[in-house]
Amino acid sequence: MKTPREIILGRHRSAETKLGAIGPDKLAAIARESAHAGENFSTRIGSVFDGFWRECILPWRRAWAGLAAVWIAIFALHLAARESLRPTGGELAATKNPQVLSALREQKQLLAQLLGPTASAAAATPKNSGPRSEQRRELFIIM
Amino acid sequence: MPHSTLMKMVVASEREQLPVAAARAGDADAWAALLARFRLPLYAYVFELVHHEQAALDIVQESFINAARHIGTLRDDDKFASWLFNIAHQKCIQHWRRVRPQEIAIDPQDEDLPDFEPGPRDLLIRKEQEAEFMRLLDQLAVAHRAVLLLYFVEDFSLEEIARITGAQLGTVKSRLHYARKAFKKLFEENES
Repeated sequence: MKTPREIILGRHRSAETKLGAIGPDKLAAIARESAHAGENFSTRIGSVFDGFWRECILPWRRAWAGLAAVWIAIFALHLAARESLRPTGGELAATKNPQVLSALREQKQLLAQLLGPTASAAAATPKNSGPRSEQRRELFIIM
Repeated sequence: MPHSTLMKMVVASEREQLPVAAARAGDADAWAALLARFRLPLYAYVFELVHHEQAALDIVQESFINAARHIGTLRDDDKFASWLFNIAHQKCIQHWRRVRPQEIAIDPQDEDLPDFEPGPRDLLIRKEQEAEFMRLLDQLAVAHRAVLLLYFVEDFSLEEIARITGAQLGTVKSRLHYARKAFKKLFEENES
């Protein structure tokens, strides 16, 4: 009595000599080579960064530090300017006040009344209705 | 044999004791142990799928070379066996694409099936039934044969077989079920 494994492997036992052509030394060499290639890649990246640091940053470190300080100052100023443009708490509270809002609304209505006739008259006046000297001019004086 | 050489000898009889880390480091003894352990099962698996001696030999050789080249990417050393068989399986698919493209897509419907109950080592076949067993195995569709071979030859779990063949777990279960049905008659005769 045999297990299926024994039967299947037994059928191919004769091929073992041919399979011997695959050498462990060759496989080990391939594994070493690929491991080495992987290491080389990481060390290459490291050396590129190291070279950049030593040749571009270190000799001009004061200049880089100065530039960095300037950029930080610019950034800080930018932030401060943004803060000053924002409405303060008092201003925000005033806009929410109903009295202030109603006063603003009244002023707006008044302005509309004052400007309204001019705008409608200007729109109603046809262009090239006659010589300029004959055109009637209206002048509103706002006190 | 010197003591250092004795110490260096690697035994690869159990799956858990495979010298994968040493092989990764490029140790020739480790590769010798892995070759001794997997060369024949891998060849048997590949041959039973492609049914061509030279193609099977080439695929096994290429699989080992690929494994040596990419062993650095294998994260779990315990999965070396299924990883190696997966490489070989992919190469079989490439071979079918070249030779018999109609044999690739064989996928019966997934069903909710019970697990394959008896273990591959529990099935015993009488000597006079060996030829019949192999004939039945050859008659199975490629996808079923692949699952059954992985199950019989390496005792892979369903999850491992799914990983090797790139199939869903349910599909693997289903394939095992159908393959088992095909063998049922033979095993029943054996038991009686």
